Amino acid sequence: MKMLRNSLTAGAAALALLATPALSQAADPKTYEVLNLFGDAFDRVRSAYVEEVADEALIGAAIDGLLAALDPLSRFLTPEQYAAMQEQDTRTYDGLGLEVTMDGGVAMIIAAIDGGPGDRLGLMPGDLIVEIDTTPVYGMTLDQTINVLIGTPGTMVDLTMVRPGTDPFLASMVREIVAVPRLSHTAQAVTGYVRVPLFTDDTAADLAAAIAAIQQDVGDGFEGIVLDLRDNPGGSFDQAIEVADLFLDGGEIVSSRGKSDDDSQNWVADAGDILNGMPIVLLVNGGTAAASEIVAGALKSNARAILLGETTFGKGSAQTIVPMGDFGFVQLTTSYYYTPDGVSIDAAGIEPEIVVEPSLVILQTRNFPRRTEADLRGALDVPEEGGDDLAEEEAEAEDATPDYQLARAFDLLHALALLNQRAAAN
Amino acid sequence: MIRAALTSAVAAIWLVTAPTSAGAADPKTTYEQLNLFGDVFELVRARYVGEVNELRLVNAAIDSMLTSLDPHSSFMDAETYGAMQERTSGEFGGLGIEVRMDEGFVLVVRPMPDTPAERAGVEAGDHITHLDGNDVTGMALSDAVDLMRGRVNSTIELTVEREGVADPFTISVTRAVIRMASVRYRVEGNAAYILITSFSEQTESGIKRAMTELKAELGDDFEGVILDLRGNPGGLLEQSVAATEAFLNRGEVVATRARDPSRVQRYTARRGDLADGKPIIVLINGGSASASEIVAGALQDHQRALIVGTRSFGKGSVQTIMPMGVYGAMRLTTSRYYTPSGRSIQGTGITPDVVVEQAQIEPLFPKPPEIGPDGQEIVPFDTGPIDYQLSRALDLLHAMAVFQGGLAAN
Repeated sequence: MKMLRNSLTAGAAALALLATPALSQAADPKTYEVLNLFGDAFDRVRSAYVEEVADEALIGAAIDGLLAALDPLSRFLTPEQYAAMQEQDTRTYDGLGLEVTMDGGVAMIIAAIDGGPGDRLGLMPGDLIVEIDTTPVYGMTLDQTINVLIGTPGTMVDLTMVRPGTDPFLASMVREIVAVPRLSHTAQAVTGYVRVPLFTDDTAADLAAAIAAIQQDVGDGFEGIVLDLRDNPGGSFDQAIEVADLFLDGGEIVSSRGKSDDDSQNWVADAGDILNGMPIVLLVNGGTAAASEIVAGALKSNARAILLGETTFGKGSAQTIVPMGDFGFVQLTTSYYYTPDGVSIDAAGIEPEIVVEPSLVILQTRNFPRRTEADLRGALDVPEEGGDDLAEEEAEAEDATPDYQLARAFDLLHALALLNQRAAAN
Repeated sequence: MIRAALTSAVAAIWLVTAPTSAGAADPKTTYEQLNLFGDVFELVRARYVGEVNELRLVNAAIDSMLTSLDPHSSFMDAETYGAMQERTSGEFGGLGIEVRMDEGFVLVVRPMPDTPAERAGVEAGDHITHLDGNDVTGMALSDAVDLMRGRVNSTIELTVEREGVADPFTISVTRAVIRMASVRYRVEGNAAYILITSFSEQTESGIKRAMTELKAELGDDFEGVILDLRGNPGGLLEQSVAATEAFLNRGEVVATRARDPSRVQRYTARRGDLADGKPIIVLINGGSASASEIVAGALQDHQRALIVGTRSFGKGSVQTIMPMGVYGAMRLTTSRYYTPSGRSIQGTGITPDVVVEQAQIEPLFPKPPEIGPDGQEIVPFDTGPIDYQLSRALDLLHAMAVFQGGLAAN
């Protein structure tokens, strides 16, 4: 920091002496020239603006603009904002239950939190919010957008939404206190299903307990699990590392790389896999982001799970908070996360090995009644209680599998288990 | 020269404030504030994970500093400033549509007459969603406009959503040289009708030409002038002064005051009245802003014109374009302006002497269509909707001329 102070002032002094010739070069200007440009602009505003403006306000706005030009997560924090951030240790999704980022100047939904107003209304990853109560989002920072979205519980909000391929639409919702969604699990025949909606402080412990419970329910012949990280916008980074470690018997989980070595690091799994190598099918989609993508990347790179679904969101950067004397703090993006395969999560997201789009399955039923044993001449009498109509059964089957991706995941898990059994038998 | 002066000023600040900054805690000196900016900049250079374009970052910083002041101050980088200069020269390669932002969409206000957009069938009220297949939803209006401008004879494809048409459709438009005519004019009844769309360098000469031609055309029938400033967002201050003094024999047109109250600049009419003392009506509406309000305010204060229409926008500040070498230019609000009677129109606008809302009128008993000798219906030449405000203004002007003529005869 001290270095720059010298070069800034030296630059200004040099220019004052040399006057303008250096500036006529159109090529990339030197750092001191660029800083000098800022000095000029600042000075002109101070001397010529129609009203007197405090230096602090001008410099504050300039720094905000500088950091906002980098990415939505780089920003300046006043001491008050920093203190408020320290107090609020867990992120709240109050309001609409939406995780958002900025994209092209407007807000973009990363994922709608399970059970929140946005989720109930069917808002999807990638949906753009262009107006909040008729106020344009364009020009707002991520922080301002989130504050407006959270608002006061019980109040109405109208979002003007843009979804590629459809007409713009209005999403009207009532803000509420959104409960932190909990991990849930079920045993399905000889397999298990675990839904992780968000990485909270207890996620790894809850997941281990859920798997133990499933194994107990299933007993012998347990085949593996489907781990559902769809629409999971992330959360605790440490918990993502621990979750990946649950299933990895060593190997790298993730690494972060920045400009300086201080900003580069990698995380490695300890020995031990709570599933002892049993198959895992990991469900992902466009709402799988940040901490979720770290887990997905680690299990994919280490060939520990088969990923099924859609390409993940692509949010994998780390911020460092640097104190700036008693002015406040700078929160700056200093590194990107890379999977053990060397894929930058932020740039591309994680691609599933088996791409399955969400789909509606419409069974092709026959137009005529199917002939069954009971229709044959001279068949035995049909017992009363077994007389369900076949067409009805088919209709029920259709309703029972609205989650096509999940159905495909179970098929895949079962197939993997069969292959394992055959390999063991030979 | 200016640059040299300013940079020595920065150096001077450093020299003056450096000794005291060591002991001072709060409030921060200018030097300490500038230093904070330098420190953040250096931190970004050293540790930001992505590529850092220093000039782009400083442009963003300056723009953010300026836009935090008011809605009219901003920074133009070299490219944007070049485009602005091209525009003020009056010619550019474009489509010829006037657009504005509407709920995150680019809305066509109207295609300009006799331009590629009009010939290709772009209509007022169309929403443009894509340009050459690129989504422009949520884009800054200036960015969308930049995409529409381009080399003459190059073609651009607009994707348009139109009310009453189910699906979006595309329109191909070939760019042509668009001339931003500042002044349009024609004879309306016995009046010289002059429309000023914005105040550019062409305004003064345009008004002179219009008055010469229209007075020659009307001869002794010339009854007065309708000056239409509706939808005119402003432009160059000097040109609004020129437009005002075209209709005044003497008196103050406008005064501007910078932050320092002693720095008052007064603009005074010098030339003769081109309308020869005949009545003038100025038409304004909510889209008449800035330079338009200077003209309307001055002619109203001097009781030289009757102001008709609806209340104007109310922008009472003046911006100065400050070139920043090869880097572009700043647009900075440097003064407020006051009408000759000393009022500021900031936030309040000009209230018309006769309020006439724009309205659609239809005859209650329309005449049956005329049938020509060939048995075909004769389509009247002008089938466009009636401009109600203009027709009211023409009535008033005619009445004033008759009344004035009667007084003169006695």
